Amino acid sequence: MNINNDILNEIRQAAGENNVLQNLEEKIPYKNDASYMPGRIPELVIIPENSDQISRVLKLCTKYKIDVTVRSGGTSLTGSSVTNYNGIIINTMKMDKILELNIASRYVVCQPGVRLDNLNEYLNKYGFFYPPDPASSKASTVGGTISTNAGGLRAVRYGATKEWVLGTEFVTATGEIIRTGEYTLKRSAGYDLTALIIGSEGTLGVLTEAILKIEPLPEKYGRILSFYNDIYDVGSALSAVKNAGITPLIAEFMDLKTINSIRDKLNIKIPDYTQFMLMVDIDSTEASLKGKIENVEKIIKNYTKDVLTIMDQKTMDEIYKARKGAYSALLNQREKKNEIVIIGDVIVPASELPATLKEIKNAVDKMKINVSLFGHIGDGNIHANIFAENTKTGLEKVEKLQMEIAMAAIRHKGCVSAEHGIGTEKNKLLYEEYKERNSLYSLELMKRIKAVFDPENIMNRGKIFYD
Amino acid sequence: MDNKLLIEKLIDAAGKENVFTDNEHLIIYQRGSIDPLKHMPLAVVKITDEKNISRVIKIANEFNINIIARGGGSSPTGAVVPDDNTLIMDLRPLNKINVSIEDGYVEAYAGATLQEVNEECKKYNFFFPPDPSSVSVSTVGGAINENSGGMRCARYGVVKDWILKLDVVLADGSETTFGEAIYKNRGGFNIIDLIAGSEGTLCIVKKAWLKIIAMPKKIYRIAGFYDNINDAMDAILAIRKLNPLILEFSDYYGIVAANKIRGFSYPETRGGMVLADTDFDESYLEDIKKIMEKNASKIIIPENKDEFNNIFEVRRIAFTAPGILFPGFIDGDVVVPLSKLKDMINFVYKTREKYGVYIATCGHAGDGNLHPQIGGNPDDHENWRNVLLAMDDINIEAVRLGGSISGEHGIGRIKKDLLLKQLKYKKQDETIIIMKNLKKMFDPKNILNRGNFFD
Repeated sequence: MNINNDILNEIRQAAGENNVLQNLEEKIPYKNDASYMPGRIPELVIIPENSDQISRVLKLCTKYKIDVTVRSGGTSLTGSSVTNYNGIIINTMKMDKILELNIASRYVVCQPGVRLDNLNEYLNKYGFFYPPDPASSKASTVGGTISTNAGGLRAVRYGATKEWVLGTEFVTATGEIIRTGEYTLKRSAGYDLTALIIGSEGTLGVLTEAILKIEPLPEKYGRILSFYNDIYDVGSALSAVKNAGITPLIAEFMDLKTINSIRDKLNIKIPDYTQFMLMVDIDSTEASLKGKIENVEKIIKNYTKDVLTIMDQKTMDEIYKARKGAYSALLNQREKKNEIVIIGDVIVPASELPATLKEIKNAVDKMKINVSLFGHIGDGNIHANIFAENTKTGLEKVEKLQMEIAMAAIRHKGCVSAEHGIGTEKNKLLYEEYKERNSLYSLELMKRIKAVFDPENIMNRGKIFYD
Repeated sequence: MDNKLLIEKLIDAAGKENVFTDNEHLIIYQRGSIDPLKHMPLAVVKITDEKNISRVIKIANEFNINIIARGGGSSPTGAVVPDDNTLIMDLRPLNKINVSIEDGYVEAYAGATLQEVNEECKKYNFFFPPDPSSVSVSTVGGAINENSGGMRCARYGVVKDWILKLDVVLADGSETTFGEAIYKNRGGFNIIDLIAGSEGTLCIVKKAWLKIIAMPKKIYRIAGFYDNINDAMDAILAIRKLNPLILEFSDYYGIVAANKIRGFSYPETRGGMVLADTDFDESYLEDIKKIMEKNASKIIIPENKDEFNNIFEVRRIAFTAPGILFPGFIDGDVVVPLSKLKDMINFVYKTREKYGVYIATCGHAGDGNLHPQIGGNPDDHENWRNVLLAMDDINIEAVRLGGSISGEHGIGRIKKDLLLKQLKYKKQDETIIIMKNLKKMFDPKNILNRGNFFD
């Protein structure tokens, strides 16, 4: 529905006069997020200060059927934080406070606009941390990472965001402010609405507060880098480590193109034959770290002759930063001016990884597209970074390749999204995935669940579900 | 209603040998494990073929009959107790298990017990971490529906944290799948975690893919006996920081009961016992010992296998002791934020005085989860009234302290009123409405475990 002057005045009053952006130049930044999915400039941007304002605005939006998209860090890689309709964007970045830290009870209470790196900087002072660690942690927020169930480098050990949220305050599309979950480490008190909210990509309502579980920092850890010519050996080496009962803190792989993009920051000697590098972090008590690292080195040496262990914290920090910056670094590898790099995000079971990678490589070769690979190999999560011209034919090519990669993942019992979400980029792929598995009924149920929270379908319409 | 026709159809669908209507069989299915609630079902259908779940549900739809899917029947909150007009689907015969080490999961049908699952995993030196004390009877389907916990929660969390994928049968008999057997998955809404803990009210779990991990190489065990209960609670908070494998507590009454029942002679200290396992290395055992040495009057580090097991028995028996020592008992399952543990246990002690009832408290203290078990005599009116009042007070105090009336045993039939009280106290009236709407959406005719959660 069009927002006429009367409705506009109502919204201004509901949101607070100073919290509404109307001028074109103020709204332009909201047209895009970190994805290449085209968005629209919203009618209005609202930057609320509290959940009451959000509740009042959503009541009006449901009443007048106005489309709403929620946004915080704007780092979505699948277009879930841009709008495709003539609606409003609610930006939660003014709600950026850490409300309570309870070390004894192991939780921290945050508003949605708190950035992950800021949260961890704060927690580290107390010897604790919040494990979910997407590569965008400098910009991504508590609210955004909950709504996309973000993963990241440490997920191999600590799991994705959903394992770290104890409860929420949430405003439903109809403006009801609800609380879900508890401050306790476990509970069984009715249906787990918190679980539904996590990963819902702003399609149910607006998250306004989160109770997050925290962990003590690992006592001590070391990093083992190893180099390979063949992707099969990378997978086998990691399987051998895991089968020995050792779950690494992180387990990352990258191909030569990715290595080259961050080579100057890595500052280590990389053997000439290298096509792939595996990076494994092992943690332990101070007393037994050395023995544990030696044990892992021994296992990995069965698969490659070149193993490099780094124990110096400063060097480890530099490498970690370089890995997290890999996607941005790849942007500098573009050959043409109008080229873009689109990051894929499929996942397969560990045993299917080598065969899947092979199929992906075949598809890439066949289509003659420039692609570089890295990912959280400990989870079977592959990020294929596709270089493409930002033209109609270029994007069509990308879409075709993305579909090929997705189908390869589905054939190998995997999924079209591991941690970046669905948004508008993958809603068709998600449909294909459920269709392939004969479980379209599951998607239908999800749509009905959306209607329970959002009867007028105003929240982030067009995301997740393919119409 | 025409029962004869119903039975005929059930026999048609599931086979004559699998449909039971005689009292002798039905009586086994009339109750759960602890609570005194019971009610006779209309009939019992043993599911020997996975396709029969859907067939039976379709018949239940036709006759508008309530269905309870039952595994081990070990629910302590009456979640498996029939309502009027209830058909029990016994899923226990569906117990096939398949382990995939490389992909890190076990694929198990709903009727497999957790013990069967772990025996299979053990062949490869792997295990499924959640371990409710009823592992020998509780099934995969039951543990998922109850979102069970257990001793190892302090480190490994609850069942929910271990589910990758579910095959389910919905209220109209159609079948579908949620999730995938991989470690991270974004496939729209997270329905798996909605089903976990839903106590059979949303759909029937047919088969699950569960994460497994390598077994710890060596476990170190240590127990501290305390004169003062506050010191014991302080020790729990301090040890929690060392990420122990288990972190358990039994109070004085639990120790006394275990000594009496099993003929042990463990120190009967007024402040109870703190029990911790660690699987890292010996330095962690030393660190825990140092924490205990501050205030414990006695520390025991088991030196042989018998001692290792016996000291664990103290904690285990504390849970069932009131049931052994008294004609009747009710099960407590409160959970509070860890910083409120001390307040909670002291309140339990005050409540014991106030009502003059027997309470032995043990629990997964490392999670803030306590089981105050109250024993009494249901035939002694005055006494049993006090038992119930005491439990009510304890539950309400847990909510007041920012906690919950159930940590891991669920709501079932016996905590329905308490659940409503809890949600109201926390001003979550709207949350109740959303939960009810979700139930309606999954099960519009209200035929799946009617009478659980809400009326």
